[in-house]
Amino acid sequence: MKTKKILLLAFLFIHVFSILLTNLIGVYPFREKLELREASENTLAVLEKVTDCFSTEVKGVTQWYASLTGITGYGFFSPDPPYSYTIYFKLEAEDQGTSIQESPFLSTEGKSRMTSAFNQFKETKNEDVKNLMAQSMALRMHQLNPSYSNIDLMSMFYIVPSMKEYRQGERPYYASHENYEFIIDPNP
Amino acid sequence: MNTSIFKSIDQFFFKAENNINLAVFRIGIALAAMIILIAQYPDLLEIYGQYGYLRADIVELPLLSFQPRLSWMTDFLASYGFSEFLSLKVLFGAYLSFLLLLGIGVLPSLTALICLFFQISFMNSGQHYIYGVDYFVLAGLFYCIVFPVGQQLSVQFFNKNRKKESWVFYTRVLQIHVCLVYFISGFDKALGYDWWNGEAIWTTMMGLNFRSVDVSFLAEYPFIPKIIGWSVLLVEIGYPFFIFWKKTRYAWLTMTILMHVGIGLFLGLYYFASVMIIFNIAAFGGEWLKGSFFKKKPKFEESLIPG
Repeated sequence: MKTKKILLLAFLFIHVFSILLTNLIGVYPFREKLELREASENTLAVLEKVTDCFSTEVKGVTQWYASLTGITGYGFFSPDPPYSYTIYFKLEAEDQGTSIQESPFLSTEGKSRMTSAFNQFKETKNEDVKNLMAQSMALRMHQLNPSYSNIDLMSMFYIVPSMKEYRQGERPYYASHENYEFIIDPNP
Repeated sequence: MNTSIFKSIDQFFFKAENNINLAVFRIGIALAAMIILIAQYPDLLEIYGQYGYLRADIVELPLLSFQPRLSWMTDFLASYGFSEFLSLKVLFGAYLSFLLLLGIGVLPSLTALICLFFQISFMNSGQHYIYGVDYFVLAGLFYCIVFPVGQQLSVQFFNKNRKKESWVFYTRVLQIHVCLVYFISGFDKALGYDWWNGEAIWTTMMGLNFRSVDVSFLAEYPFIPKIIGWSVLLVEIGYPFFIFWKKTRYAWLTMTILMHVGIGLFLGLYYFASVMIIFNIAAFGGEWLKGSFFKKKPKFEESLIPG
């Protein structure tokens, strides 16, 4: 009985440690609107120093444990919610003109998950991987719309003005982020 | 001195307590996972298919060789002549069936382990499409493996050797987990400006992804988003402190649940809200649950005890 209690407390220690370290590593995930007061900057600097105390091996094992047990960063919409990010497709064909289309998800849940995919696309730093992702999306749009030969993937932010700016007449607008143009070879 | 510390630790973690909350947790997690899975069904091929919106070989590119993924199973089924769509349907049906077994409490640790394998596989193969709720379902399944979640409200309910009590340790793990979730979330939010001045509520509700109702009128009443923003910070940062204090526990639990109801209704994150409510009720709503299940129906309860 005593051994079981000690083992359970050891499990609790490892579990809580994993939650804390995973969150210290992943603190402050959305860095687009990076305007922090000095106190916040100092707090983050201290947290970074704390995580630096742990070796890469410890961090690796912790992340492996976290991935099996569903532990993740808990900074939802923190510290400031990012602007919405979306992708549209401009499909063109000589005889059919131009059509602007959204991604091909049917369900509400599918559309919610598509938002995660867009954010992944936005945050992918490796240009080769990003190109592959863009190609995959464009190819899927071509499969669904085979008569269009030019496919332009347009990623954009949806900028919401502040409440004050909104009262002064400004309205939300799309700001272009990246464009990928694909021309489908009709005779591959 | 040392003895009293050990006694306090022993009392805090290893007091025997009715574990109805763990049974409710098991049912809630299994049910939520089933609903989330069914909600994805119309886009099954688009999300998880080899030639979906993001091709499986691109999505699975960063995975290490030992990380479970759906293509292991679809490739295996393909060798028996199954098409990809049929294979995905089979895996979908199998996961759903094991979640059902977990929900009704058939060998809960084993079925939870199998469900965890499916959940990780679905998450890895759709890793570009996952969000917070998937991690909480995974954590919930992990707890269903480790915790004694099958002792009540299960098909083993009529078992003569059933125990209605277990160490409070398991509930404490849930409580500490939930406290850390809220404290870290609130702490992160407090680092920025937008939750203090209400812009976070405004930006999120006016954004493209979470806009379910038109709230543009809020620009004329900036104090409303500001109050909501401050309330979220108070509820989240104050959670570990006020939820453990008996006098404020149920007020805090109610406020937290209301916050999630708001997130569900106004941001459209129904599943995330539901799973968080399940975690909250299992962690801190034990007394509510005991009242609901036992005090009001003592005769029914007594009649179920064999002998």
